[in-house]
Amino acid sequence: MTGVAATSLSYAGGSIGIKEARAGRIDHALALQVRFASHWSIFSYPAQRSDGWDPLTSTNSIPEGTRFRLDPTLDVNSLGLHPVAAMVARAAQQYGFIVADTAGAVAVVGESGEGTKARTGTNPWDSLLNGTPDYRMMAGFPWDKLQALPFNYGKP
Amino acid sequence: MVLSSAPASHAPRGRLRLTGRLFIAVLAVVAVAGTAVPAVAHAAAPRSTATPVAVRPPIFDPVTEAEGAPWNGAAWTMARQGGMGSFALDRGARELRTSGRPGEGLLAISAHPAVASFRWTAPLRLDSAGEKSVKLHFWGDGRPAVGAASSMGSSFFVDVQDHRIRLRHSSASTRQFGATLTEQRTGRTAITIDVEANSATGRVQVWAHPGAARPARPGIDTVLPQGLGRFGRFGIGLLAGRKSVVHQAAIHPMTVAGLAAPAAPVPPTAVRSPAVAASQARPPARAAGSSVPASGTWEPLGPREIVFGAASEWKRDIRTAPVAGNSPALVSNLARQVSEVYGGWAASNIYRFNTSYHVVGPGVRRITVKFFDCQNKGYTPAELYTPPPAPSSPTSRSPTTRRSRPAPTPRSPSTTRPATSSGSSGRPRSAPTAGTPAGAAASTRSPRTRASTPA
Repeated sequence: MTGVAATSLSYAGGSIGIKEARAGRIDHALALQVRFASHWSIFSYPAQRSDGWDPLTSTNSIPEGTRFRLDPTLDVNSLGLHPVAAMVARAAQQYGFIVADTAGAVAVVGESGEGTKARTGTNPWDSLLNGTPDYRMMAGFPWDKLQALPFNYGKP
Repeated sequence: MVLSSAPASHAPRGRLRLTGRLFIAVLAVVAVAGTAVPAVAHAAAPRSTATPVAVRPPIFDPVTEAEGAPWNGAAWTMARQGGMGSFALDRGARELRTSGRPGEGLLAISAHPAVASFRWTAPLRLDSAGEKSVKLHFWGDGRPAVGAASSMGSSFFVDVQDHRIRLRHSSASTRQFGATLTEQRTGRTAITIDVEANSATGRVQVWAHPGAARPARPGIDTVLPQGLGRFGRFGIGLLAGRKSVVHQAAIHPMTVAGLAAPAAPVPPTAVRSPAVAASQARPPARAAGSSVPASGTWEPLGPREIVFGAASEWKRDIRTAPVAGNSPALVSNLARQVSEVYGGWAASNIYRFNTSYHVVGPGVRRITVKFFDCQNKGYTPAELYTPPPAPSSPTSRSPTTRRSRPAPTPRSPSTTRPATSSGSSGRPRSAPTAGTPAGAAASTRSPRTRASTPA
């Protein structure tokens, strides 16, 4: 059985949970969607397949499944990030991002608030984002301070 | 490939594809992410239990629906925009009238927040003597629609085909964003709007721009009587698990194709107008001592914490992990992918294209879904319902962990590829350089187009 991402990974495990956002801490890696990934025949554990097709003739394309870690020595508090983005940053320092899929933009994924909204009438992300549009939540994230882990890192 | 929430004013020009994620993510599943191969309850269900969903005739009649009146989860709104004029539905004349300058107008569709997808098809004839060109502007925003809290904005790509303008949902954000222009040189233009998202709300607005769409008479754009019948083909798509969505019997066949029949019809009590949905929102009724809604209808129980397995890759602490030799290059690639578009911001798929999962009680009936071939593969992908086969020998596989993919076969609705397919695609693949997988990507790239890339 496979997960829903092109890599067969589960988005449930790599999403920003509502409870986590409320608690201010994300204790797991995060699924990362990229615009361009390596050719689908090349993927890194824990990915089990790929839909990548890098349109660039780059020799530095990103295999799906690649783990990126935010430099653990970086002071996240000094970055001026949105609080949720800061949680993402801290999680990226300890657990990293796992390239899980391709998408129209480099993106992280959150848990849908529709279930809560159906019960309460309010989407919890409204207050968690505190007026910041979701597309601005990751503004200022130091993508250039990431570190890629070796290919197939962690593969048994 | 999934969609992303991003400022669509910078909407990517490309053909984006939906994966089964949209259809899977909304399922009621017990979210167990303990392994890289998660347990997802939907796919293993025996498909033999699936029966077709009855599709009734269109239920939306623009003639009888008043302007802006909530319609069980959807509402039509006609609105003026500065300098744009507006369309108005004229019941008696069965015409789509413009109240602004000739040829200009605005038509808006609103959808209930619970509606996961909808399709609107309207053969629209802009009846001019000589002008056979219509230019349309599609725009979505996040402003509340009539009776419904709205948070979605959408932009669309346009694909002209067979005198139809197919708008493929491409990118979105939760607030205002961009536009797509197209031009179709034909006397009759069918407008099809597809909005597919797992938390779709909001509205789509359609303009006919001045100078391109010229009505037969000043102030009137005519929807032909024969077209008006189709004008009412407004299907509400129902994605798996969303049994509380109204009008499930009006599911558009294209959406139904991937779904099995719900266990039971949605009771009338589940139907709410968007106008009262918020005020009536409350936890579902529950049987005494049970966490299961008493009605048996699907209701979300709210977000729960994911239970990770002890060996979950999502929980691996990598603070002291080594860094790849080509890390600077990969990071540079990723950073460039962020900086080059959308104002240099990465997207966060919070309101849309997010992950929906709900813990359900034992009394909630299971909904069986089938693979929806939204990409017209013509076959069921191998390993969709079964785990991937273990390699015969750890050393028999290349360092890149590559696995052959099944080659597309001629389209046939009944064609199902065996899950054990070895996937001899026939595409030449040179051996990548060990330890430099990124470099191998370029050397193994086939001349296929992105649109033909398997998901």
